[in-house]
Amino acid sequence: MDKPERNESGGLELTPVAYPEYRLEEWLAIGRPQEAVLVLEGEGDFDEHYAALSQVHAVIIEFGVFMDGRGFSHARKLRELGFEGELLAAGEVLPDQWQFLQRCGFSGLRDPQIADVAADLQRFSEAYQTDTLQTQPLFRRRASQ
Amino acid sequence: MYQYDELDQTLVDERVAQFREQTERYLRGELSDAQFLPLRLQNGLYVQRLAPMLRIAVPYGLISSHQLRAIADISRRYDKGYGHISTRQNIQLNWPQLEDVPDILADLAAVQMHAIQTSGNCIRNTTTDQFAGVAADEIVDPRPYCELIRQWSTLHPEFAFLPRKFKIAVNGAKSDRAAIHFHDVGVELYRGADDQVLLRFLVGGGLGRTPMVGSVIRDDVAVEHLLTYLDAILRVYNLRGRRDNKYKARIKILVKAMGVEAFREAVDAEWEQSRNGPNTLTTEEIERVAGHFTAPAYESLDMQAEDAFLQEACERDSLFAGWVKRNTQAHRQGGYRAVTVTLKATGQAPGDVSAAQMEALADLSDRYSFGELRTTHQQNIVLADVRASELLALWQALQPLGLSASNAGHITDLICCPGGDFCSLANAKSIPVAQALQERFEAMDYQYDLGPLELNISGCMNACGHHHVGHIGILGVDKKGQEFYQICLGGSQAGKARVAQILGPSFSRADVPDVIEKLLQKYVELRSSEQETFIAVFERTGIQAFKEAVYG
Ligand code: SF4
Repeated sequence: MDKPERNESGGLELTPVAYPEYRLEEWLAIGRPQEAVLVLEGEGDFDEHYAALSQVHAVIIEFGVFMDGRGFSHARKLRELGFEGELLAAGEVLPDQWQFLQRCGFSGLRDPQIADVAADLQRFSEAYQTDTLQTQPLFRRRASQ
Repeated sequence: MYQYDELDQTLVDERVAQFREQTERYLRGELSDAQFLPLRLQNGLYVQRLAPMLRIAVPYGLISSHQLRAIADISRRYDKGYGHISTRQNIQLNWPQLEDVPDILADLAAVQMHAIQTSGNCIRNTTTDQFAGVAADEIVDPRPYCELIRQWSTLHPEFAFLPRKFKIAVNGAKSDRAAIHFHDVGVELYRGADDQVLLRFLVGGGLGRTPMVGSVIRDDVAVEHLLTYLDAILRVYNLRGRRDNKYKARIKILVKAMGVEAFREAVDAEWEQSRNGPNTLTTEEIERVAGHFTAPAYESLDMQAEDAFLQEACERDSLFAGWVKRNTQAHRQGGYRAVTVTLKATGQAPGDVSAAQMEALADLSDRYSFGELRTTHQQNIVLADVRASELLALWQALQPLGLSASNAGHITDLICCPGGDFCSLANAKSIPVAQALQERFEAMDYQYDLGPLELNISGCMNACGHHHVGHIGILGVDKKGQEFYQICLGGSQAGKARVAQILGPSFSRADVPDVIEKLLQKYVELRSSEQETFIAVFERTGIQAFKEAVYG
């Protein structure tokens, strides 16, 4: 099993984001600027907004409780719509969830302490499904071997 | 059956390493109980009333003799020398130590087994017909599709923290032995006009507190879309399923709240994005997986000689004849039969099987059934490919093992959850009720005159014993701290799928056998001939006559 390389900050958190942070309502009220960091609640319903959200600079999804897996689907939807910015998981997340979060499109964990623990954990070297990191399912890769 | 390649094996091995690390962190105090909870559940580890319970996945009920021997060995080394077949075709160990679980998982991985996603709010072990691949009424062999679903659902990154558990069942035969109407998703395989395999998807069925029959949301999906369509269903459920109340969190509640039509539209909107994408199955992949489920090396038999041998043996021994009649099934291969070994001997908890019995069954399957066995949701074991002329020898070998009961499909072959003896959620014990009923009816000559009868017992509303779909269902309830039992009638999981109706006020444990006997006497009185089964009489007459028989 692989262990990921640590980055310089000691964790997996990526570059700090440079634009102001908004909650969804504020951002909608000011006309949905792209130069923004959106802080979304994992519990939210963004059906009408995914397309616009996928254009902003960065997104932070806050997990209320780690058992609530909606954030995983939000992340995948944003990535499927072409969102290329940074996507951080915040709030109550377990370091053990990091690999699945990453596979769903998260680029980092907001809490450096959690990121620190996550960086040291065992990881799976393979996966059956497609995800943000792996665009071909295992069965197609098997076939081409 | 499916054999892991290097990649399948790597994933299972890495899961063991991950769980070992998680257990160590927990024992060192680096993970709290609340944090460790979902992590251990996703690996099949419950903490029960008396000890942890480890649920080992038996994918769609298929297990090799080699694997069963390994479980027997594990149960001896780490447990009390027995296992329990669950109503989801899995095998449970009731007494492992938490510290030992990583080692147990490593031993399982060595025989291509695991406990991944056997509990927790994730996609569980897919179940199917225990006669898959051999049933005379089969249209499409469901096993390759079950394996494709197993791989797709294993460690799926998006659906590990669903609102609630998620169960999928697949059926490919004319009669539904997989209860697809009572699963979160039921998949029915059938053949379309050009013989191509098509999928019918049912959603929102289930038992538990709010039993519901699933609704068809699509019945013409081409087989290559199996995984993309499942992904779409799961995403809608993950995003929209209720999380505020665990009793309203199953997909059935969501489908009911949205309406089937709106739910289908939401699934279609998701499916639009992924349909024909890379997760679309290829013919090569379907063939690769199906290649693991080819027929065993059947002998070409003189069918008349096989039949003559069997018939003669039956004429000589009426006990054997009864076993052949009730515990063996027609087979698609001439001269072969599928055998059900019931784990329902009186005095033993239904579904329990000792290490010695597991080893003996493994040996018998090597000798008589190509080294493969199946676990069933009726908590029995099937040897699916036995020559008719070898049934007698098999039956004789089962006798000293206490495994030759000829009650398959009859009243003492009942389904029963672990209940209050083991389960911390229970309202009442279920095993003693099962035993009292077995004692009462085993002794009665007329058990078999009563015809096929499904009697299911659950120790609480969670309905692990499937009481809602029993012809007779028994549910443990709590009345002011006392254990009582509610009885329901007329459930059916196959054919006309239907939830049982409650008979009336509940009874004390001591009264249950008398009440069941009264119901059966009523049935005998009402039936028009011996061919009319209990469930047929119930359908014809309704519940009233039975109510009167019991409550006067
Ligand atoms: S039905 Fe209730 S008592 Fe029985 S095993 Fe399930 S949760 Fe436990």
